[in-house]
Amino acid sequence: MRGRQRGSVDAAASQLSDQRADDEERALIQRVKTGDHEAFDALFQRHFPTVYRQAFRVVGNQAEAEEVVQEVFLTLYEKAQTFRGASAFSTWLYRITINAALSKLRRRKRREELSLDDYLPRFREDGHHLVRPVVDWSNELEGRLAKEQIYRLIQDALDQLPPVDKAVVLLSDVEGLSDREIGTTLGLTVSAVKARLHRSRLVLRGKLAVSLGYSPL
Amino acid sequence: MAAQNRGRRARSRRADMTCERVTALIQDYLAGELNPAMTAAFEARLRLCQDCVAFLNTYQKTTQAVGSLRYEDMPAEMQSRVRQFLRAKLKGFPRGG
Repeated sequence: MRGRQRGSVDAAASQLSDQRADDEERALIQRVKTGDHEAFDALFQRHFPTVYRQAFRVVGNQAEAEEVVQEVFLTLYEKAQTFRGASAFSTWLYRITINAALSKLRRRKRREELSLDDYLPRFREDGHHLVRPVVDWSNELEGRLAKEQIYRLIQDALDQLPPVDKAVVLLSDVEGLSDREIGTTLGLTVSAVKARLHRSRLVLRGKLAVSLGYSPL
Repeated sequence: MAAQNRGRRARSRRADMTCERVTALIQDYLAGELNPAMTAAFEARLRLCQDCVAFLNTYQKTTQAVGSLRYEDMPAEMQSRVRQFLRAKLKGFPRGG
């Protein structure tokens, strides 16, 4: 009981602290609207680690992530007037970051890539898997590949997805956003988010299966 | 009569539950978004089909592996470079505050 009480006190304290941080940020952004460089610097200090991490996840390398960070904070300064406070400041900034990172990906020359359909499961007419048995490699992954190899494999596989699909996977499985939040961030319907997420996970699963020497189907 | 109909519908749902259907429903199943009848049919299929179990386990493992991705923080020298870049850029903007 005491533990539960402490839990609810902690939750209330954390909510209060989030509210205070949000109020402070709203005050800072109001000052940025008037051209206050110190307020801008304070926002930069608070948010650059998160903006960098989010950008890096999408573009996959330091150099482009750095360019995205620059773009995002310039946009923050130039478009501060458009922040109306309907959502939290961090949500607004997050949206700017993801969209800047996505445009960077879209500008990249498209790599020659294998058709992603080759990694999707296929089925017989009666609805059974085409290749049987389906191997359960879920307990083999860490035993057969080093953590760094797994990260590299997943990152490479993510880089081969269409930019929006990659963003959907990262926002869902790494950032833990809901389908609705992802839809709002990327301008997609919830059903489009779900469809892209499922297909991308199937492709990633297929790529992991192949890397372990099994059929992706 | 109603109980018989319910039983017939449940049997029919189980019969429709192929590997292909299970694959299409995995996402909703893992998110807890299937209704109780569909969940029961899905789980009945898992009890019968080892391929579906293997597919479900490897799908889940993939999601966990993606979720375990970790990224390094921005290197300190990059932070100071970006800050200098922004300060230089902002000089061209009107200053207030």
